[in-house]
Amino acid sequence: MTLGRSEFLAAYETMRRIREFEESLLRLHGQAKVPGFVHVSVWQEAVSAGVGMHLRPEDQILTTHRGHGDIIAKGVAIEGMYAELLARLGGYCGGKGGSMHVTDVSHGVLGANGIVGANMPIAAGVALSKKMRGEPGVVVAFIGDGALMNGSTHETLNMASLWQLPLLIVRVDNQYAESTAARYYSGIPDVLVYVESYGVDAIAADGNDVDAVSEAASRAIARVRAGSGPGFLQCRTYRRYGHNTADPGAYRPPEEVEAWKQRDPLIVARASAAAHGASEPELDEIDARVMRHIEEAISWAEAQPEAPAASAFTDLYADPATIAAFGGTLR
Amino acid sequence: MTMLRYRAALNEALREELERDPRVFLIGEDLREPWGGTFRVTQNLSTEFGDERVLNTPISENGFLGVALGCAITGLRPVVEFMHMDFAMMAMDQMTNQVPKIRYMTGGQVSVPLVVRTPGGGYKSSAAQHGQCLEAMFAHLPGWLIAAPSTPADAKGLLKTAIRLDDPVLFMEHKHIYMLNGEVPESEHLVPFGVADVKRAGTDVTIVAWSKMVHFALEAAETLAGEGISAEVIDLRTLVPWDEAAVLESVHKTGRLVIVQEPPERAGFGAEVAAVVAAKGFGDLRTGIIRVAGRNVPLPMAPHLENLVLPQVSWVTDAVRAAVRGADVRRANVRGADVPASSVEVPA
Repeated sequence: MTLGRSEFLAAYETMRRIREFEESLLRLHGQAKVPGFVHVSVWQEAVSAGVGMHLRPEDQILTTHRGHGDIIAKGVAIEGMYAELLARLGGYCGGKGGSMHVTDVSHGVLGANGIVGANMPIAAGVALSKKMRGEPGVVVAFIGDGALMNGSTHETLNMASLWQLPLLIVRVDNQYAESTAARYYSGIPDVLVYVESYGVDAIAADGNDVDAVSEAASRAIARVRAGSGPGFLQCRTYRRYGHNTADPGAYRPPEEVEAWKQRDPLIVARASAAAHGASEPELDEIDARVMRHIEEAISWAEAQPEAPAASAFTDLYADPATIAAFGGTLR
Repeated sequence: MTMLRYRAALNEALREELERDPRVFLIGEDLREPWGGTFRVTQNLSTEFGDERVLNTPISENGFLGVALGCAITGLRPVVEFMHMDFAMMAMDQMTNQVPKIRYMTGGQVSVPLVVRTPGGGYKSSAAQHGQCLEAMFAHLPGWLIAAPSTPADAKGLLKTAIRLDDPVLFMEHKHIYMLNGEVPESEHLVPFGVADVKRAGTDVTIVAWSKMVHFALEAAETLAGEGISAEVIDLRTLVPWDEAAVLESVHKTGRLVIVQEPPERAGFGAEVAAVVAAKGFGDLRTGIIRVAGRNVPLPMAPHLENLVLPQVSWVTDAVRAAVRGADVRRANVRGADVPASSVEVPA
């Protein structure tokens, strides 16, 4: 146990908020209110919360198609996320991004990315930019387990080490690259040894125990923050649902899913409540508060008008000279 | 005015912009001294501005373009070099899904002041992987701006503009004209995007070209003038956006259009120009539009084979004669007249 009482309660609340946000999306998608592809991170909340709690306003994250939790844990308002996912006015990306591209620069969220592996070199660039401009802070790139096999991982690990970038890569290892289990896609015997061979400091944590994630993330982030070069945090976890809303996850043995159900990070956290000096009624109260917030946020977002038609033709180009060259269209 | 080679004009543009704006930096393979870029475009710049403004990278095109993008969305202004345009294909995800999309996808929360400089161009026996002009692939992607200068002056003026724009620019140089000499205005020479340059006025036919093909068009126009054919040559200079008005105005005057592009004909940028003129200038056309273009095959190494595949000046003159004299335009559109029908089997 490394979290103090108030930190534990805050982490629990973040995890509960992520959980209820994700579950609500499944409902809203089922009701055909949330369009498009939706990838939820239920049972992976401890990674988002355990890392996010150590990030400061000047720190920046880039995440994946399954990134809602990481974004919420960075402090982004769920109202704007709901508005975006429901294609309403007030969404962070004007209805053009949606689930896989939620971005809130003001909170240091430089984007979720729909292409596996693509966020890593961009994150390395954000880290290089910080270094070149002498700005404080660390950059975190969340990736899935399958992304480790993408060429951009090799390129990024090498450049991050070469240039000693303030970059932490957090691998959320839910053990499946879409439907393909790790034993069918990875020939790497030991991920930490592989990453360390680039000169990148690599550690692992139990991704379903927010205490363990927090402890490891605290060390890893402090190291990067101190300018000691890039780091890598491997968190083994599991996703409750299939890859996305179209996937029942039938490729996973039921007994495997059942075993991980016992390791639901909210159940794990609740079991450790007393050890953190927290009580069940306190956690119940947090649950109720989060549920109220979720319901209010959904109601607010649903009451917003649709993202306006003009939004389809804005934000492509920035420069007035560019826009003028296109005859004033494509703002 | 001063006489400069195309690559020296580019070097001068980079130097002036590095000097002017501390946010500008160069990133790519082999840019630093004593190498100074494979085509020497970045010569001496690492000495003058230091290694921190001129970054040498590993051979990781997708990776370092992503790095440049991360820098661009956080306040810096990277100028990326891909050694050959063919190598941009190693960065296809960043070129396609990331750089041109991120501003739109985030609802305008970030801007991408990023330039990708890269030389296309054959005529050097460089074979199929070191000589392609791939502008059409990127013109298809909303979000990019594309420049393809033909002269030292435009190379400098367009590159300076590109670096100052807050939007991503694909800046296509041409290997075969790096050594071309020309007059270049000193210092603040800025060429706007979307404004074509009428290189030669004429009344009988409009020839549209960009990059190296402008010189073929001018050479053809000179020859044709001796035959009493007055050709107007328009250098588009930028493809996205391209100057539709200038081309339509010219076609309104001449009634005939020949488009010259170096890369393979199929789905090339010339098809875009032809389609727009056919749609918006149909009433002005007195004959069919002719495209002079590379054949739909990869580039062969052997010089005599490469010359069968890449456009030649004679193809342009023949095409113009066909257009003006009302010869068989359909045949002119199928193959250059200098290639005997029996000599080579060309895929349709």
